[in-house]
Amino acid sequence: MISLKIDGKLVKAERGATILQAAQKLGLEIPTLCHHPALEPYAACRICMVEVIKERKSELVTACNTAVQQGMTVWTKSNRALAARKMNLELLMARAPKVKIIRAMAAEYGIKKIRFPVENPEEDCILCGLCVRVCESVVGASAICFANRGSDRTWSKPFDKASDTCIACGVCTYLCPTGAIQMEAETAQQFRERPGEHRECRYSLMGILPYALCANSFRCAQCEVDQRFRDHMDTHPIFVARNCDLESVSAYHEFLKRVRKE
Amino acid sequence: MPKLTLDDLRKIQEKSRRMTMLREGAGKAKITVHMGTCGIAAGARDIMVAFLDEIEKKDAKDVIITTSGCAGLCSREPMATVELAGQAPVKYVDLTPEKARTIFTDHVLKGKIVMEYALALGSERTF
Amino acid sequence: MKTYRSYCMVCAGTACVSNRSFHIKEALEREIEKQGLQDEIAVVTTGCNGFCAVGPLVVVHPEGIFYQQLREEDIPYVVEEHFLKGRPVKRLMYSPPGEQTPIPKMNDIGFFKQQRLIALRNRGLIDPERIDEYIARDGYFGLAKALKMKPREIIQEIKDSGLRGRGGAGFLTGLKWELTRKAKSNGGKFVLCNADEGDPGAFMDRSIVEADPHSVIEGLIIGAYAIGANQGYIYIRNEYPLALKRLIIALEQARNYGLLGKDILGSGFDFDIKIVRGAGAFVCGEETALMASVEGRLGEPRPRPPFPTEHGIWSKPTNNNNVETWANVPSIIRRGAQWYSQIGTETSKGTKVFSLVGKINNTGLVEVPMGITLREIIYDIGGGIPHEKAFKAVQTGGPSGGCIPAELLDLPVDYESLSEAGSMMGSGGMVVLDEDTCMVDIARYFLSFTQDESCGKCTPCREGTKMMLHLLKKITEGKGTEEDLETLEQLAHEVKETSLCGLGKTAPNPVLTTLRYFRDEYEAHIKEKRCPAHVCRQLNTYRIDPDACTACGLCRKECPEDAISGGKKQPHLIDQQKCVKCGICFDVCKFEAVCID
Repeated sequence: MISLKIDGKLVKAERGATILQAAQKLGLEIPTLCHHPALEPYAACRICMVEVIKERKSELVTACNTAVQQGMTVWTKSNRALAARKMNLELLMARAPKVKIIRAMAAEYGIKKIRFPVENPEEDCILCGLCVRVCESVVGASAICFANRGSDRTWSKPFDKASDTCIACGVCTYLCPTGAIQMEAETAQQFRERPGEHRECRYSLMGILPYALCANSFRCAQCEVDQRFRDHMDTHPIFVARNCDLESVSAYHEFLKRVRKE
Repeated sequence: MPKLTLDDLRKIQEKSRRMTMLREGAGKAKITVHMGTCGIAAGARDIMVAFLDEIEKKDAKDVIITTSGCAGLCSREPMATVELAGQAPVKYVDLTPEKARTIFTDHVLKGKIVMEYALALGSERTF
Repeated sequence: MKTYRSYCMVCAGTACVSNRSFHIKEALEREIEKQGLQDEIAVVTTGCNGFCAVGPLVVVHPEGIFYQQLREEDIPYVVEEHFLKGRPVKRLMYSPPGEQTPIPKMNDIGFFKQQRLIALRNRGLIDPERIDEYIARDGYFGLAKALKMKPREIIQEIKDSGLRGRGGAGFLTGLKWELTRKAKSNGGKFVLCNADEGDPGAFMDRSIVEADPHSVIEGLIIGAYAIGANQGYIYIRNEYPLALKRLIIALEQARNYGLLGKDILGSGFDFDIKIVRGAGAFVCGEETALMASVEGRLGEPRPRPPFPTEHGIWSKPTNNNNVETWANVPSIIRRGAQWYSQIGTETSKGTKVFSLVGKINNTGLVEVPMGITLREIIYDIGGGIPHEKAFKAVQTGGPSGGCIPAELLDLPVDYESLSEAGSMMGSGGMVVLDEDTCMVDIARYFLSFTQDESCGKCTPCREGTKMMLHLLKKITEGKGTEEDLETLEQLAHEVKETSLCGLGKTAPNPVLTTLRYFRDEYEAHIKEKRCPAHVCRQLNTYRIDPDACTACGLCRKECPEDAISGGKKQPHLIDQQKCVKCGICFDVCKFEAVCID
């Protein structure tokens, strides 16, 4: 165990734990946007910046991915940390002024005026990457991706076409903090309404079921596999995200492997 | 089995030593063949060829051979100046390829000035 | 090997090649043959000589005669006069600016005199496409020595030499090697060479690879042996076709000699190198983005830790150094740490290669001992500023660096001094700015580069640089307010503090340093709506001096807004209401009659 001080309070954390986890243990809230416990830290929104003092040197780090160190002193609300957080919130406000979560955070941090021009008042994506990452590392489908670079960066589908690897699990929609990712009703519908006997469902696409083998004629509401996921694992891609930790992700992946072998 | 050993590296280096020396400009001896119009007319090219041939035959890697313009003594062409590092240059006149070969063996390689062909000692140091 | 009496070294670096040096080479060969000298004089193409400003250039050995700015039509004369008759051609030699007497020998020219070559030790002396010529100049002897040492001893030697990373951050190379050596791996380690040089105006790495690719390869093999890696990668940008070509040839030759592959020099050590070509993203010079790109993923940085020394390519420990760092390694091993550590300053050992560009007479590539002052580089080596203009600042470290003003010209060039001045060593770009440069505009220029090259992953770099650029544009257009300046400064500070990778962390440096040293220029733009250097056209007022105007009518014809009136023999006049300040009249006037107020 490693002991450190956060906002003046002593806390013990496991080796390899992040500052964010240690702070949560103390019940201290560090705001995050791009972080999710079921995913590897991404450190892109830069909202969780905290000030760390070590050997008399002070530096700003992101709490979501910085590991705790013995004797570390962390200030989550120092002037320096607050200034950094505020500036990045103001920048995000200029990007996506309508997004609820950003507005709420900005209000909390007392941001009244946006000093930067708003290019697109309807923008709702803050490029936190949760959808892209969950689809790649949890679902294993990589049906969502980023396109373009720098200020042109945007979320997209591979080659900007409806992705044929999407299994319509909906986990991206579930994780999206701003509502920018909506599962197109058609996508979900497609899986239910594909005609004929030779069609693919989300599980055949994932390689869990052999092609075109459905015990209940593609009535997804009665899906046995769905039921098996719940019975065996109490889980499902979407529920993994809800369970919120990396262990359930790896348990889920183990389970996938097993079902595929069967 | 390795394709190449340290000894092979050394052999490659030895083979190119003359090239390296020339490019670094650090020879032990320098022969200047005077190549003014007068020199060329009197057969300076043959002298040059003789020297180059000697360098190759004797495998004298440290000898620089270069040309210069008219030395001002057109009646005694072809001429060449031999300069050993740290010594005064020696000017040879009325050369023939045979004389050049003698000069190469005796003076350039062995350090013994060939007095009978020499014009003057210690003039016009060039390096 | 043939016995030549003379070698004619034709520079075939990218700059000279684009000045037709291959045509010069062909002309030389043609004329030499015409004079029957082909068995006496050899023509060799080399990598970049460094003195790019006066290319295309040829150096004739053994005399070391330096010919510059050659044209094909000069060649018959050179061959006849110099090669045949032994009379070097004075008019094609170099004369320093403002002087009449040419300097015949390369090593007597100021540009070369103060240089100390280690990374560039073979430049101009070998044909980079022939491995034998590299071996002739002690090439691969460092490797032979290293393979007889214990890996621990090699690492100690590199540590003792004090070599620090030449890519920008200046991390101790030996220490990095040691970390990679000690890192646990369940299946191999990698060495990586970063040749994704992307700073505007920087071409150090390109020139090293073009002039001496084997030095990089030898460095990599030594490093791999010391670290315990059996696979190396060279990540080189595809926009460097000549460097890439020479690298491919060099790898092939090294492989044929068994210097790459199995059981290198009978040591039992196996190692090979793969080339990965970058597609032109500046951010891929950042090591974590570079490694993602090597793996075939999107070139985006990731948070560190974990550091590449533990978690690099394919999650294996990876030691990444840039081209110049690797090129220093063979000499250090061959000549010893003690020799190397005598060069340079207390904390910055050895030499550094810089590319000198901008408003400077001797544009080119120089290698100088650490601790040399900026003044020596710019004036003694660089030959000062053209057209007797005043020096204003030098931008070191490219778009990630800062502008260093005239009062700091005596600053010694080392890692610490440069970063104290608000700039950085960077990879070694030096852009010299003269009195005609607007510092706000320069900050805007460099920021527009980094903004464009941001990968867009993290908020401050993606959104912050965009807003900084917006504010700078506003100021250069005369629309800036004092509040904007305050916002800009605050934003620059936060982008530097909070960005994810080096690109964002350093992008504000040009803004922060110009604010630090040239704040008055920002204030002139904002308060007086004036650009002191007359660069920001929106702030200029164009006026025609009636005494100088010859009524030629050119400006009137070119003006896109028909804002200029005047007839034959009548001085012209600009209608300020109509003028859009495009500056075309100023550019076209042959009589300097258009003035800027």
